[in-house]
Amino acid sequence: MESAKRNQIDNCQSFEISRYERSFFDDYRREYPRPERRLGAGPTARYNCHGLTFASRRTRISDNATLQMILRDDGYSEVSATEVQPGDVIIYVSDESGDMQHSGIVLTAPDTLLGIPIVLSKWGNYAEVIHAANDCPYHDPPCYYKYFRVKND
Amino acid sequence: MIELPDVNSREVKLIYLVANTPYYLYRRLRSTNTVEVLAQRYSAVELVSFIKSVDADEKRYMDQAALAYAAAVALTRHSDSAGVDQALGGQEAFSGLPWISEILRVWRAGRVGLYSASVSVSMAQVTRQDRNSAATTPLSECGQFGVRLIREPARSTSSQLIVEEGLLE
Repeated sequence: MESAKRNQIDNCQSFEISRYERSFFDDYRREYPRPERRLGAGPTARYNCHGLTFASRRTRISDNATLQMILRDDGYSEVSATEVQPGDVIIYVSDESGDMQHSGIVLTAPDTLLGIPIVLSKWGNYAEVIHAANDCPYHDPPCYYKYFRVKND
Repeated sequence: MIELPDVNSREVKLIYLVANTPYYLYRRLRSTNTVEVLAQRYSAVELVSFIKSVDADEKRYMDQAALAYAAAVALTRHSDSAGVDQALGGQEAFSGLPWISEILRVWRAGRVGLYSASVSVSMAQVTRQDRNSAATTPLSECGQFGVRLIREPARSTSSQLIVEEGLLE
């Protein structure tokens, strides 16, 4: 797999999840009852959040340098929270390390009251989930949001 | 040998299942009670032995993998780092558990401390010195960068600000 500038994207496809392992996810449904699982996009280890956001659900990407390269090579530009539109990318960046610990696709712009968008993201090996940006397991370690968009004009 | 029923693996399992990056996994596992128990109850040799056994099992389930990662993080909580190195015997990469090498690398780089502190630094005052010359550039003009503060151990009062290009924008 290559970026738009023909650089290799470090990635891997992991093993699928057994029925026994699927039962683990019941704990997540109990802990996060509000987020809605996208129909037909249940647990799979083949792709993670970055694989959903940047690799068409094809594979797992977990290396930060690789993610930086994708943002650069594919022409992503950061947009401010007030400019966010559906289709933009949200990245959860760890406060202390800069680690891109989660990403997703913005479905609705941040609301005017709290500034929180609704996003579609993949929770590790778990399912694709539609959730408020702050209603997920990715706020520990503490993080902040960055938004990106591919600008072609 | 670590026995699965011996340790409550639920919390590490839940973290592992949603981890997208090795750093996230390391940081979350490090604060769990399970890792604390593993570090206290098992020697570095026993932890490494367990990691190797899970790595060698091609039919491993996710909860075994999660516990193996917890064992790797427990290694980083052992105070005797020389003993950890000895137990690893030079093996840092485990093909079935690919994030262990990154976890050990992060640990060795000292990027995760046992405490944190806020440090205020004026960007205009920080400069980057070129490795090959005496030229310096204001950090605010360096483009992408990340910063971490390394405090020298062993009674030293000096600290060093390390600039890593490409980590953050």
